[in-house]
Amino acid sequence: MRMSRTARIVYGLCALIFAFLFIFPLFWVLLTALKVENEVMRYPLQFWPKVWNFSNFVAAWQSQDFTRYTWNTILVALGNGFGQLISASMAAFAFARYEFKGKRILFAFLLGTMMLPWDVTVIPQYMEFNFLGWIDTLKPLTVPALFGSAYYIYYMRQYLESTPGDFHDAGRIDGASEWLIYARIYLPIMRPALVLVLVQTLITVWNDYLGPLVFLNSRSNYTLALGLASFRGLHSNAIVPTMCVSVMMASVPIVVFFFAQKQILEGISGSVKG
Amino acid sequence: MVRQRSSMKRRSWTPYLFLLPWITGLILFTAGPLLMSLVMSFFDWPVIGNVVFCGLGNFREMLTKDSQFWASLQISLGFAAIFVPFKIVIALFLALILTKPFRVSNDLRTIFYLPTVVSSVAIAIIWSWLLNTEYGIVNYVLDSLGLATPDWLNNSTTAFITLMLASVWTVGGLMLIFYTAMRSIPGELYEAARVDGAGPVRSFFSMTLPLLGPTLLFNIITSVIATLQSLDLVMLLTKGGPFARRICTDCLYTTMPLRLNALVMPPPMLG
Repeated sequence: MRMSRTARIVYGLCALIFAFLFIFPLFWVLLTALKVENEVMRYPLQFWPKVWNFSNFVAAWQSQDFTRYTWNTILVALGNGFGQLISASMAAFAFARYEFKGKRILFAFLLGTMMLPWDVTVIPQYMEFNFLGWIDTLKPLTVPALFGSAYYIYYMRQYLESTPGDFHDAGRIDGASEWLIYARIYLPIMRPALVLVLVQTLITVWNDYLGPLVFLNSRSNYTLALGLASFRGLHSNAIVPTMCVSVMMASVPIVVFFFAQKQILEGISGSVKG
Repeated sequence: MVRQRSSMKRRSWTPYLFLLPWITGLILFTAGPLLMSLVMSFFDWPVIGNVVFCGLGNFREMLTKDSQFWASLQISLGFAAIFVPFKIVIALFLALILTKPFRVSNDLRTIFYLPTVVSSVAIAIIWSWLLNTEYGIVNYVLDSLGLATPDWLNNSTTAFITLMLASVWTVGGLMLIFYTAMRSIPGELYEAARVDGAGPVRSFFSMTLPLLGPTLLFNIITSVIATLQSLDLVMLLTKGGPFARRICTDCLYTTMPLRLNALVMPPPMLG
């Protein structure tokens, strides 16, 4: 498709403006993180830092137990990732490859829980976790995810539907058990889908703020998102350290995104088609 | 596992075994608590004290006596009514830019999607620093152009603008969905339209948009749900300012016809 010259100029200009709007804030925060505190609060504004203080990052990190928060986040992320990969892929396999009684109803339940807003379940869940004595532990953030989430099950089912069923029959003829067929034939086939699910789970858990906010109380159990929010609440004037921690927190998903870019962008596009 | 002889029998049980983890989770952590809260909504259920059945009393109280309920319902519907069309238009426009044959269109796609992976906590911090009243770069630029420098986050009009800006930042998912749908429209259609004398604007509104119909609907529904739920950014950006408290309580109210005093919610930390 070719564009007229005016269209080219108009679209190009808009693209430039939006690209600036999307990139500049990140860039500016990075610059701020490298400045000295009194360079930040100066008028007229100083654009580039005089000295690039990379030690700011170390100081900010040590000002609170961010290592602990990161460790908590990693624990939750691992639990979630594991649950989505195993439980969700098993459920997706059952939905995509078998005919059985009650399949339609169960699938309707799956779609229903997908559309259920988080706020609807959070209060009853809170009461349940409170009853179980799980409040202020990492369990509420980890244990439910071990059983697989509707969204990922749905996504992987869509993926499996597009794969041929012949492998299944071939496996059966060769005498493989159904479990072996799942583990040895279909899991490898699902690899691109599994990668996308894993990456999305990790990014979601890393960024989750409301879940930890509701279920955690004591500092030693904070995840990174919660730690950063509380840090900002406590030190609202310490601009530079806040920016440092923000940069570090944002950089992890950004790096993951760059590595898994192809899978993410194409996977999201692909899941909608089905 | 015991090895079964009949393959028919084995086949009939396997799907349920594969579904077992998910079904267990569904009963324990979604359906169970939801049913419980449905039951509780018919009772007067204080944290300490006797549980008394009160039928539809809680609902009646919520709909008639509670002034906050209607106020917050109104605010969040109004919020969605402005936000959703705005986000959809921006997402459509960005997707349209991506379909244009620029040499950098792959890089543009990455750039437009990038902020979507950033945590809402970091987004709130980034934007409130850019819009900081005294030292923010936005006000600095406005000031050097001789324009007014608003106190962005403490005034309800400007806070709304800020929220819109910050939400444009995370429009990547919607944009990708539109982009995929637009790419699946065959190019010959546009050629034909051009031959028939349709300009780019005309062909967008008479062809692209109608062909995007189902995608548009999907995106509108998901973003209505997301916007009604998007209290984290509101909470973090305006720190209990103009909207936060009301939208926050509204989420509790609209979702659960439960008496709030029956809950042991920790105070939300508006950091």
